[in-house]
Amino acid sequence: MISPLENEWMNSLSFLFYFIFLFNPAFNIDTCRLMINMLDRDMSGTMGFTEFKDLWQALNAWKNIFMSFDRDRSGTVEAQEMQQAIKSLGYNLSPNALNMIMKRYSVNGRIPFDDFVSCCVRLRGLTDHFQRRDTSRNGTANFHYDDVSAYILCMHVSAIA
Amino acid sequence: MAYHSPYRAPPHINTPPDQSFLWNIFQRVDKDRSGVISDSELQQALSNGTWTPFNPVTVRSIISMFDRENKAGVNFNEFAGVWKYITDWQNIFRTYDRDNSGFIDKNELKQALTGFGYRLSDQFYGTLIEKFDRQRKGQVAFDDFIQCCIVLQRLTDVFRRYDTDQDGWIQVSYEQYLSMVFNIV
Repeated sequence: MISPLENEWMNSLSFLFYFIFLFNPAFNIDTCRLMINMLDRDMSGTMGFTEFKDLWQALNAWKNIFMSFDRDRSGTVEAQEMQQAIKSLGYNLSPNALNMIMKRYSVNGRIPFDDFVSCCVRLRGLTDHFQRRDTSRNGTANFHYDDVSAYILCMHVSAIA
Repeated sequence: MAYHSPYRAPPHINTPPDQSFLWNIFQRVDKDRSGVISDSELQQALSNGTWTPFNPVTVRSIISMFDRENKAGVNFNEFAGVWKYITDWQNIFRTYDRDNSGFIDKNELKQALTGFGYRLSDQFYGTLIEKFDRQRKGQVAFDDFIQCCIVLQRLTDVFRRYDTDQDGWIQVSYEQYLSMVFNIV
C-alpha cells in the first residue's frame, strides 16, 4: 500500500524526472535518485521549490563546466579535465583525493557526463554533511557507526537499478 | 557496539557439487554458448521468489565478486564459486525465513544480522528494509536480502578500517571521509 507521503514523493519524483530528462535524456535512474536524495534537505521525501531551484542551478553549473572541457562534444571528459573541473567548482582537494575520485569514476581514462554529475552531487552532499559535523572547525569530525551508516544508506546507496 | 565479528560466509554446508552436474547447469545458464555467463544470463537463471526479475544490482555484485578477468561475466571455473555463493545464501535465507513466507520481515532480518554479529538499532533495521525492499512489502525478498547483506558488509569493513580502537566511533578528516564513502558506494 502506498502511503500519502510516498505518493507525494512519487509525484515529485516524476516531476523532477521530467525536468531532468529535458535536461539530459542520458541520465540514468540512479543519478536521478541520487539527486533527489541529496537535495531533499528536510528529509521529507519530497522536494520543495527552493530545493528544486538549488538543484536546477547546480545542474546548470555542472553542465556548463563539463561542456567547457568537453570541446569535441563527445559527452565524456578526460580524467585530468575532470580534476580541473572539480577544482574550478571550488573543491580544494589534494592530488591523492583527486586520484581516488578518478579511480572511482573513470572508465578507460574518461568520464561520461552522467557519472560526472553523480560525482558532483555526492561531493556536494558529503562536503555539506562533513561541514555540519565539524563543529569545532578543525577539519575533523566524529562519526558513530550507526548514524554514518544510516546517512550513507539513505543518501548514497542505490539498492535498485 | 554495533558489530563484534565480521560476517563470514558460512562453512561449506553442502558436499561439493559433481563437476558434470555443475557443467550441466552452466550450459543451461550460458544461453548464447559463449563460454561466459553474463549478468543478464545469470539474472534470468535466478529466482527471488516473486515474478519480478532478480535484482540486477545484486547480479552485478555477485558477478564482479567472482569475475577475475574483468570480462563482465564468469567462466565455468568461476561459476563454481558463484553457485556455492548463491546456494549458501539460499540456505541462510531459508534458515531465517522462519515462517516460510518467501520473504524476510524486520524481525527475521534482525535475527539474521544479529546472528552474523551485527548489533544494530531497531530504527536501523527499519532503514534497511526501507532501502532494500524493492517489492514494497515491508519485507525483503531473496535477492534484496543478499544485496542488503553485501552493502552492510562493505560499509562495516570500510568503517572498521578507520575505527582502530573498535569502539564504534571514528574521527576522520574531510578527505578521509570522502575516501571512506567513495570506497563504499
